[in-house]
Amino acid sequence: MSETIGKHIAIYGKGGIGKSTTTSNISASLAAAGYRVIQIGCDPKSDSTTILLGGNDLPTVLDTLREQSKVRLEDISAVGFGGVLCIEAGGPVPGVGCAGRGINAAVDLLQELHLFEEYKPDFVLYDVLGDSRRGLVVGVTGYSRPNPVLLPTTGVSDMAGRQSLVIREKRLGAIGAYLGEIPPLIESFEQNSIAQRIRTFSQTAPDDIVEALRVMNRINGAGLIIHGARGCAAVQLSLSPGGAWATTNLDERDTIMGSDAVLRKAIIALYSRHHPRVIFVVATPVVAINNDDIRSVATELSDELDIPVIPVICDGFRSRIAATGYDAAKQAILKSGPLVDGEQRQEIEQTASPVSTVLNGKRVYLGLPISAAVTVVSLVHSAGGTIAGISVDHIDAGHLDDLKALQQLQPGIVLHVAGGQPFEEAGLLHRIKPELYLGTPERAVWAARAGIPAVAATTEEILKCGGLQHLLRQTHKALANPAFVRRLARDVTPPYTDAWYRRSPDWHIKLEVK
Amino acid sequence: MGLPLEASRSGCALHGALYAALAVKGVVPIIHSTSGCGIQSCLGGTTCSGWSGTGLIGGSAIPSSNISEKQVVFGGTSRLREQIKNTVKVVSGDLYVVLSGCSTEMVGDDIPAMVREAREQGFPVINIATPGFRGSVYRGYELFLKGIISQLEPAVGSPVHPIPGLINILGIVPTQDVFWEGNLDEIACMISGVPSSAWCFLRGVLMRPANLKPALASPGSISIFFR
Repeated sequence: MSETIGKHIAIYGKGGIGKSTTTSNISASLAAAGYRVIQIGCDPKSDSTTILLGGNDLPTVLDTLREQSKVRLEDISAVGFGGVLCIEAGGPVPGVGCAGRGINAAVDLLQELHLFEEYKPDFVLYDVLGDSRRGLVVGVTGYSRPNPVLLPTTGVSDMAGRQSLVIREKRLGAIGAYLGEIPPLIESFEQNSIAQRIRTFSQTAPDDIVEALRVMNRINGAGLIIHGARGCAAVQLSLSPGGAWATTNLDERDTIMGSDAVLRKAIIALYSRHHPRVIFVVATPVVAINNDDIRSVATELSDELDIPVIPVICDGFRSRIAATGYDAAKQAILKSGPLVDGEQRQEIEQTASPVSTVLNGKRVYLGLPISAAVTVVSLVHSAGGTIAGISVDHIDAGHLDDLKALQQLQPGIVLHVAGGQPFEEAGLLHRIKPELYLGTPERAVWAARAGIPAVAATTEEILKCGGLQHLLRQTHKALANPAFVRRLARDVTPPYTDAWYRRSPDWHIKLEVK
Repeated sequence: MGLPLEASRSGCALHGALYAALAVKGVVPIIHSTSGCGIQSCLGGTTCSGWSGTGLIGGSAIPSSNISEKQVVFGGTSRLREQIKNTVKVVSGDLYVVLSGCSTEMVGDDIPAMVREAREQGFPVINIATPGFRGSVYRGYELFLKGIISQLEPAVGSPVHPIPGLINILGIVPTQDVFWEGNLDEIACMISGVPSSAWCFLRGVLMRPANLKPALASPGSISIFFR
């Protein structure tokens, strides 16, 4: 978030009560007094600046975003009465898409265009339609966190800064879809020219919420509130059945009327039963789409309960890279103060790399996160095997060294980047026909069902002390008992059509066109 | 207003519908929601829930439109159209069921229109609104049953006839009841006075008499069986 330039004023209220007229008159007066002024209309009707523009309409930011990939400030702004720079955020066609979210996307774009840094306004006025949704106002004006001024034209609303988290795609050029050799990837990361790819067919994949919960779950003495529909907390049964977790279990009414009250109730209930030293409130799609104001409730209850209550900014849709959830978790943890008791950890000396010839001449496929994959490639080589291909969940600029290491260990290696998407791997394995699959459990299961001896191991199991020995033992077992997977493949119908197995595995990966 | 739940032991309505869909042979669910919805359902169904496995197209393989911010802002119907069109090409199945999640229901995507379009092109597709905020897995199971019963005929384009003597055993939510398969087997045994005409739809392999073809594969003689 940029440091605020200029004074930001939001005029907010329901439709038809004179917001645009008031805003335009303030803008005009300020401009007449010699100030540099920007007026931003945040109303799907997009007629806030019409008065200033002498009755002319302005193309809205959202319409422009929809139509062209590269938006320039000139495309979406016009200079009106007295030199006021006019911008309309716009909104979706009524009944399609989400207005609140759309305005956020528009404000994000203005931020990317460095509007304030470039234009250096003295005043920025927002004309915000906000009937029942206080969150919308928070969303828009969070931009001006340090000095917001709010003139509610009906009712009174408290303000809180909008939290934002730069997604991995933008921060590190992360990609979640790729199939090919490694050098082009290294080149595009070095030249900072990452092409985003999307899928035209996809299967379910971990999102930021699941990954954030994985991290938060490891914090001793923390209570977790999953603020959303109850399904977003389903993963508790896998991660921490006895943990101090609660969900606000939002129902249909909460999706319309807002969810502050139930969040408050949930935090107090969790606190009174577990006395955690910190409570994290993990946001989910429902509250993200509604822009429900978590921060105000968290701040109030932090004071009331005298423990940190910290929002974890997740939403499930902004990023296609699940690791964005780690970033959200990290951001929250950094705000929660010291969480380590200062106990001394004993240094464990890493045992020497195990010696084995179990993979002599075997072609091994890996399905592991890239950091673990680099370690395991060395292990496979030292045990006499070669790598037939690697599937990783995502790649970003932080993996440049790992990519180079892989390319050096075995030049020409084929890399498949996919969070989940076992259909692509099924196609790959069908072509490559490796003699062993070594990967995370959710990936290895599909290899086993395709008749390939498979070893399932999580990253933790591999990287912990003695992990590589464990991996070799499991490998030995899998190779010694091929009948198991042979029978599996015989008795289980493959879920995919014959036509799919004939297609190129990256058939459904396309370059993203905006 | 929602009632906060501590240490919830069941997922949401979408998860209940998914558990039911994945337990029916020949049914392929298509989630129209964010990417994590399906993953949560299978993680919730592993570990403590008896490592329920993947089924035909469960686990990380559930087709899902994985909507991103673009679809939340501008609507996700075209993404859904693309997903349906490609799912029928990639995944083999007899009936495709679009299950909506919270995000697409809040955005207000016109899912029935997309499903009608696919049906007009000859694909057996139905849709059931199962946003998580509708309730727990039990509610989702119920929504799935109602949805499939009311829409099966139009989906396959031929009348649905009951099979005389057939007994549907309803009410046990697959996966949520860790012992669902055993329980259903046991109930089926107890009422096995009618075994020759009983064809159990869910996990039909175990119970189907050899002389009956899988129901959905032969639209002329369709019946609905839940086990």
